[in-house]
Amino acid sequence: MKPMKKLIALALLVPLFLFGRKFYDDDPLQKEPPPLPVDNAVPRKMNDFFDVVMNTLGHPGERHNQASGEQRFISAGAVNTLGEVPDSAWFTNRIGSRAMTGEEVARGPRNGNAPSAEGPWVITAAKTEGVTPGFFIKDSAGRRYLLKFDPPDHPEMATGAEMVGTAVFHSLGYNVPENYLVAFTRGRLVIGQDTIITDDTGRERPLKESDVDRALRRVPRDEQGRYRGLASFFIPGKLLDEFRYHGTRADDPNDIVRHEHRRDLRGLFVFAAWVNHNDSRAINTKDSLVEEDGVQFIQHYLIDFGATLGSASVLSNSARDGNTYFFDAKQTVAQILSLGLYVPAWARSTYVKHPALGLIEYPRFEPEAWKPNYPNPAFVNRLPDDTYWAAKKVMSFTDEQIRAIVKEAQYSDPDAEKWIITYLTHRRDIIGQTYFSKLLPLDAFQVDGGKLAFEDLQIKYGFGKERNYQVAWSRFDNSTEALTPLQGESGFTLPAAVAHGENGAYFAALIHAEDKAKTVTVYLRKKQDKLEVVGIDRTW
Amino acid sequence: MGSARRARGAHLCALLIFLCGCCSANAQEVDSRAEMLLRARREKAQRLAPEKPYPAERALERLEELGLLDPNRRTVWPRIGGLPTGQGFAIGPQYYNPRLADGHLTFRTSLAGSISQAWLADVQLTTRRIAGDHVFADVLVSHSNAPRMDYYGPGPDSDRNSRTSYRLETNSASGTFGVRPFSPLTLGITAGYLTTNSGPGNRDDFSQTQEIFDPVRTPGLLDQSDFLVTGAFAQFDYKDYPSARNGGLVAARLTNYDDHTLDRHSFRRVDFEVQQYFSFFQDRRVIALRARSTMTFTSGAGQSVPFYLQPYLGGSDDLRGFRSYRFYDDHHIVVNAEYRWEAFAGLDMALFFDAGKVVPKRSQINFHDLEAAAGFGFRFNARNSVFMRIDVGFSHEGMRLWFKFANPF
Repeated sequence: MKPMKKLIALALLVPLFLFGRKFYDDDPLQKEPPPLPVDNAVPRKMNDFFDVVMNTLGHPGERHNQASGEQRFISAGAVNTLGEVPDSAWFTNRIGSRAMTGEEVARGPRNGNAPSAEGPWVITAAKTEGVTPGFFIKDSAGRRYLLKFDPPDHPEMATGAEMVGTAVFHSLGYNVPENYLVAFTRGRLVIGQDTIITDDTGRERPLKESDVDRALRRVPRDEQGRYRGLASFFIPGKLLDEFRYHGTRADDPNDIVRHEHRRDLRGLFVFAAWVNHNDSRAINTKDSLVEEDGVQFIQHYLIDFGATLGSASVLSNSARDGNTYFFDAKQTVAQILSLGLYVPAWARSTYVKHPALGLIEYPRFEPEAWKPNYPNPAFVNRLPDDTYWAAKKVMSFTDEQIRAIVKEAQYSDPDAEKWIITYLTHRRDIIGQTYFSKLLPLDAFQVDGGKLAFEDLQIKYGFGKERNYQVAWSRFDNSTEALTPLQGESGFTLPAAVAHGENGAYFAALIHAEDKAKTVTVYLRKKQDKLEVVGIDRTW
Repeated sequence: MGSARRARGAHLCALLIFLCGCCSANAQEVDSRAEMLLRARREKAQRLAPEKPYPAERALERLEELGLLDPNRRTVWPRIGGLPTGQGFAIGPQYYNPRLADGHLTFRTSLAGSISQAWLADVQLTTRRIAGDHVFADVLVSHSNAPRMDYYGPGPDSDRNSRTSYRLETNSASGTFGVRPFSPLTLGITAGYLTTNSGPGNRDDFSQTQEIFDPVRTPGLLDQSDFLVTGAFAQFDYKDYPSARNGGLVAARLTNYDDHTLDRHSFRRVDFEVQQYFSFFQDRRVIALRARSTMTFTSGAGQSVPFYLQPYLGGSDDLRGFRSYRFYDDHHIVVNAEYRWEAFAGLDMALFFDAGKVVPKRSQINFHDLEAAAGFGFRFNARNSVFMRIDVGFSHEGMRLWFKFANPF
């Protein structure tokens, strides 16, 4: 080749060499870089009814599309090269990433901020939004809480569900409020000076003792005459508003992945299905402007778990909760045309009714058929690798940890506690069975003793039998993403070219079992004379 | 040859300069995943904007702030309906103030009219949260002018082709006082004054009632009586609210009409009603049953129940395959059965069957020779409470379409 053409070819290769690569030196990222400062975030009130209508009748957010009969999927964002979610303002890796004791799992976010048992709790405002009554209080240490109660016919139901939900979602990795179960007598509550209430006629007036008495009249009491409540410690920072499950926040420079594509929000579908959090929607989230190391940024929270398990916060669940949207066009047409003779499976299912639990469906549970109250864009966008990530986390909960979590709900009836433990362990296992079968569930890859070692999660958890794996080794060009097969190399013993590869070299092992559509490609990199797993791709 | 070599050399230099430029530029390109993320953040930081709600969302919030979406707040609302069936679509303003007497008294007043020149005006005071809602009281003063009331003649055998029209104008002032000693039981008494004025209606397409019928068969046709109205009622309501999928209701009411002007139309009226609901498939299917009977008693010779206060059947709440006010007489009995099923959270469907009759004698109240109707309906609800109903009823007299704002029962 003439020198000119060689140089031109080289010049053309320069951009590829310099700009295009699959892996960077710091992959896999375990934690996102520190946030940029957020200077001008202001609250933006969200309308609950509008959110219902928009998500029920519209399709907000970006969805996978189907062009020319071919489905094109949008892979999840906010995910590292191993398919895991890095720590961020949205998520912190806990269960499944490190060992956690039952006590730690059950404690959840609680950090010694229970309302002081000394001195009065001063009511600073009455809660007028949402469907559950409550008071904003300040304890003698000046800490602020939202005090919520159970409905009169269902003592322990909403508060118990909230305690279980808080521990579960915190262990999974989400930011959640510190919630404490409290028992108190009427004398503990005092009305603060200048405390006002907006009553149900829309009038603002001073809060009176009779208002407090009237609210407490409907609150169940224990045998000692104390009221049981849930004291939710105020989320730190300056509260903004809810986050939507689609798009990004326009005033947050750190919010660069559309919410409907975040793995931690797509995978939330599985967690919500597990605990029947059919109220997983924008109104039950909160953004807060916090400060760390002198930098203000927005932290994202999930809140309000009173509508989980068999509870709908102010009343028991109905059978439709978790089984169908408020409005489902196909189901509606089927019901109208069949004159109601078509009865969906969930209406024929068996349910456990208990005042402290509400209504829980058992044993029927089909995770893929589970539905929140109305479509959630992130949930709709879930892909098998999103649900696989989530299922791994759910399966990380041991029986002992689940028992410890449920104990925090302090159900007075041992049967209620037993049922929730049964409910959660049963649904956990079904989640594992369901989502580990959607792709090849090989995980925990490492180079060990000259071999590529891994776990097959279906076998690990007893959902499947031993199987044969086929593996094909290649050299991987990180710049062009080209694969050059290493001929004749099969088996999980590292080929010589891999074991003795030069620093900076990349290799790939394409693995499949009986179903060739379900593959796992594991990428290895030689760095400082050691081979490390740097990436995982999955197909299904 | 020398110039060609010099040209090639120049080209090579240019290319080398280009490559160096690329390398230099690359020093500013990302070399880590973290840097790639930071770059994306910095790019977004250049185009930040205030977080805003959607326009429709902002409008809804504004309506909520003004209290226009909360019927419990003090405000002016449209009043829809409220006139007797057949008077046309009525609409008008309504003012509601729930804040009197420190929130223990609500005041409501409204004015509604239809294009058929029917009118309704009323003023109402109702107590709120007295003695933990165990005690309640209500005062209602109203004026109603309905110029298109239908009358087919007395008795169960009235001819559908004998449809006539009349005007009924009433002025009423009544008070109710009641107690709820425990949750399902309500007891109460009522007292009030009622003036009536019946006369020709304003329909041109039907004959006037006064022209076709006579006062013997149709008492009160030419009389205008004023009544002192007193009564008592008892109700045992064990339905599960607000959806009424289980439980039932038993109610009885005694009302005494004392003709103060003519002493010709004094009578007593007794109403009985029983409802029962059975649900299955996790409350998604409901069988709703109702039986209702009204009997009137005249006291003294020469007394009669004026036709416009007689029990009647026909219309959106009882025999839905018949026109409103199709049958009048001194007594009636009606039974209704509905099969309701849920289409989606906001819509229930229904298949219904109605049967009933009016009779001139109490001894004829039985289940023989009932008029029958059947049909289907759509019940739109919010939070399990029906706010709109479309029913289609069929009978041997044809098909009727009903558009109402509550369940029939």
